[in-house]
Amino acid sequence: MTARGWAFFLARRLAVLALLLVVVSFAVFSLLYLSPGSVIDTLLGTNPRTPAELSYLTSEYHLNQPFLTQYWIWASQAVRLHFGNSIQTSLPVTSEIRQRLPVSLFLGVYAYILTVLLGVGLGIAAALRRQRLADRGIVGAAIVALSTPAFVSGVFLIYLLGIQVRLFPVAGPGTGFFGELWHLTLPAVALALTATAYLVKHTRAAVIGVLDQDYVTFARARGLTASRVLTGYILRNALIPVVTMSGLILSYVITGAVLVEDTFSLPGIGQLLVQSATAKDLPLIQGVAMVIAVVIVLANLLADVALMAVDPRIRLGRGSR
Amino acid sequence: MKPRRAATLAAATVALLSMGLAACSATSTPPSALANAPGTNAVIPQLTIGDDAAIPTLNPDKTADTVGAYGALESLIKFGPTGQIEPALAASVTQPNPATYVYHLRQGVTFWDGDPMTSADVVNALNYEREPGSEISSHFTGVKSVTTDGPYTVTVTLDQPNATWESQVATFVVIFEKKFQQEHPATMGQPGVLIQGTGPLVIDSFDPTTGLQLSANPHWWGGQVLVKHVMVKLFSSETDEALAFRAGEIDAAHDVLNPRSFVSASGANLVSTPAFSEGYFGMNYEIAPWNNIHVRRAVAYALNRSDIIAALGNKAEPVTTLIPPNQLTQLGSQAQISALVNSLPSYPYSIAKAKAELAQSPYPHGFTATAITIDFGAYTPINEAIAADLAKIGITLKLKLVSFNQYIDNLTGPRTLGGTYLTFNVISPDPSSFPSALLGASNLAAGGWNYANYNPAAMNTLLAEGTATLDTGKRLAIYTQMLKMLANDEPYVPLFIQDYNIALSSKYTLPGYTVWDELGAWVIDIRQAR
Repeated sequence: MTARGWAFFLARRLAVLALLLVVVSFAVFSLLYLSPGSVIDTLLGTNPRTPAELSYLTSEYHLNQPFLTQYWIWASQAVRLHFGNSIQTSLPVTSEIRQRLPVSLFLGVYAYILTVLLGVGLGIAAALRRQRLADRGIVGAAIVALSTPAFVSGVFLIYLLGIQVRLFPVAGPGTGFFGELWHLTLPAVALALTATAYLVKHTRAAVIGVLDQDYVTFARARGLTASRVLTGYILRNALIPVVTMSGLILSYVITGAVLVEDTFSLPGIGQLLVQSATAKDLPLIQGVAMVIAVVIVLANLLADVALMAVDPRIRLGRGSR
Repeated sequence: MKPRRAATLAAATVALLSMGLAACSATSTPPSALANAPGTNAVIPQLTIGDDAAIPTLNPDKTADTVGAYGALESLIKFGPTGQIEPALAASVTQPNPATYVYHLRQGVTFWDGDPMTSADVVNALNYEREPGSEISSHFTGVKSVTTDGPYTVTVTLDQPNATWESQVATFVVIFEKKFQQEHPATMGQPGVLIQGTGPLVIDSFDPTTGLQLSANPHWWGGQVLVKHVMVKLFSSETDEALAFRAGEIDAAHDVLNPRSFVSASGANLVSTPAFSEGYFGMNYEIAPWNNIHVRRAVAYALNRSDIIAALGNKAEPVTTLIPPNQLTQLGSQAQISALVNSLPSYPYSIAKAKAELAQSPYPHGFTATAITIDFGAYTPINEAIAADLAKIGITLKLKLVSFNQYIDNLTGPRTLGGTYLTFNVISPDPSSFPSALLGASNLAAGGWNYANYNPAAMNTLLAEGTATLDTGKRLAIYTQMLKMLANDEPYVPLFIQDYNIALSSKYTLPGYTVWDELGAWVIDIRQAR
């Protein structure tokens, strides 16, 4: 692909991202507006309330303004990257997200690495030993993992490795690289299990599909080594759908860890989203929704770029120039 | 209050696992009675306490109760072991007239940074907490002025005498350094900025995502603090907290709301005390079929408090009055309060009497109604126990699970709910606190908690009179009248007073723990077990 082609490709993706952010922000704003409960109730709880207090809070959070005006007030600040302050903590939304994002990114990347290593590795192993005991064992384990929600496997891991063996901590994110690695191992495994199972099944199916191709038979007939056939002929073709899927997996493990973060009391983006939704903390919900949308788009962009790198048909195809 | 459907699903898994834990655990759970036995006076170098309540900021107009509980911030006065008012930062209080309080400050008290506490700090803190932007400003509505007559004298003048004022000061007021607040006008209480207080534990660090670090204040006016370092670790849910307790990662857990599942999963000892948290079944005074007095009395007879308390894990005491006895004792002796309670019309559990009452209503064979519930604490098992009791007299209560926000919206919004269970918590121990939240015209407006829609004119008069006099005898007479009226009309069926529970490692003890300790710095009262 030419430089111009790359620029056009990226510009198109960024335009899609901008449009997506507008749609997501408006949809989230509308849903929150329609949902029951009031931020004032959340803030004051069972405390008695005075007219002066109600008037102050109503004005402070623009609750007396029409819906579209409220959205416009938020959007006009957001385009200048001012997402406001959290209603609960009074901290800027950006600093709240900055505090939480590293935990989610660490957990997500850790789980992603585990997913790819285990998913692709076991998928290939199962395909190469098709219909044998190892294949049946891997496929059976994948079905169990697919059927186990992350919070259930999380609790099981806590029980086994946190309480019985006491090998890993059961809550909190830890500090420092190795502290985080130690604390986030169980959550990463819990988060990776389901995605790994998907990847095992996809990789296995893709490799089996390629194993039966004529060009693989021909390569073997030419006397090429097994490793050369595997890397140069089988994986290069079989991993194309796996690379496509990996973008979805990356966005899932970074943004979809709500239950795992809850199970292990991890202060990540998912937990922040749940807390802010419960408290109707609109600026924070909007900020988190924007981050999630950006992560999803960027993860898919990365997957597409990776796909172009491994598949010349896409790189040189229509619209690439 | 944090509803978590996921947490409940996780809790179910934990419950299954905990059966295994109970079966294979080598160390059996010590009896919980040991948890409040006398301890030693040895220094405790480090305590780790779990909490699943959010601490979004240290700003005292938002989270004074939580931070106060951890012994960081103090008030002018405090509650003693039996609920009597005792001096704290004010060495004494005088009252030149019923609407004026003069606080004579303790001299020699310093903030954590070493600066002395003076009347300027106290005046500034009181004014800060009563500004309209403060979430606790409603507790200061009757304050006319806060002035100072010298470096150690502060005068608070009220619009009119207010019997709740002292309780409000002991519960909600916290004193912080004026200089620090003025240096950080918009950021006081935030992580990295913190706050300057006088309490026995100094706040060293704060992160709303992970918790607090505190250390003993070596210059505390109250003497030596035996607990040297405290880490407050925040959890997403009580289930996570229980598992961390089981894994030995925390020494104590604060405010256990679902004691049965917590003990099952954690194996912890609980230290419990009746709290100011009362469970009610409220019935709409204006909407059929609940507006019929015979229906309400039938419900009152049909509800078996023992069953309902069992659903809660037996960590509660049955009550029959909207104002719980542990608040009424502020106005009279135990004997007087017992006599008062016994003199009220009562509805002891009796299916026969319930059926007889229902037979006098237009619904002699019962009816079907829908009640909302939430996935939080023990709400679901309690509602199921209530529905089972009502089914015995022909009332079919269909339970509808709603989100937390929907629940609050229904309770405090338009008065359309029929029969609904609610556990209502108050922080102030004054006997007016439950009636002034759940009854009367002022609580019928949006945001008010009078979900039984109960608003007789006589009740509004009693509500006003109850706080306008400082004479405890007169107040007792007013609240007796109020309770009689409620017992006759029965808009709310009082069910139980829930215990306040602290889970404690067997290494520690919390001797003599009462609800009054919970309103103060209970953490520094933890002792090493003998």
